[in-house]
Amino acid sequence: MQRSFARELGSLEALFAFLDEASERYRLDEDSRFAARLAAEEIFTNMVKYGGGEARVVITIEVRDQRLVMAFVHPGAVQFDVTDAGDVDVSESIRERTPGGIGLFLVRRMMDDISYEHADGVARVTLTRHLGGS
Amino acid sequence: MFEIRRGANGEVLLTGRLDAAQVDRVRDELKNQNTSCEVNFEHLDYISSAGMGVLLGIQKRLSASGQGLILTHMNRHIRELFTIAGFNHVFTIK
Repeated sequence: MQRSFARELGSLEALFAFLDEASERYRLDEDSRFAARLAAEEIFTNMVKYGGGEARVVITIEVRDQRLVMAFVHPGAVQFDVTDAGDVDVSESIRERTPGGIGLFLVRRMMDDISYEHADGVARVTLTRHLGGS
Repeated sequence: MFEIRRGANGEVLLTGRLDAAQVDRVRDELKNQNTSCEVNFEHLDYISSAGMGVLLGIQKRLSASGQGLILTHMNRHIRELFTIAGFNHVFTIK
């Protein structure tokens, strides 16, 4: 299943509707549905904040070989490798904690694989989750 | 869909999905909160890092004066996110 979204936070409602549709079609379990919502929002909002350009983000969701695969393609994107994000120190005290980096940290924990490519001005992020367990 | 409102005892009641497009509503509701306060997650289905981040900011401000948010009735998925992020050490979670 594939759909495109304007690169703005106002697209989140439509993005979640798309995820609900895909979750029904592929009969995803509750854990995978939650993980897919979280990961999709984090990657999409990352593209909204840091992506650049006017092009829409094209998202493809499919299930193959017992794996949920979500691909985010953003033409006109500046380079921002989401796999380069550092780890978050979860043991820091409240004074030291900042919200930065938590989103991608959670994506890495909820998904089994994340890949990033940037070629000819097009960024592509692919998330994979094995179904039947995280 | 997301709703934020106050219960009879000043408790903050969250409903629906707290995503990046909704965080300003939480920030506005709690901007003048200067004392400890319960935030009831019973009807909150989903939260992302944006929602967690705005709660963290409020918690940091309150904790400077010895106050804090008490988060209650989280569903299993949201509780897992807070634990993964280490927020179970930052908030009182009931």
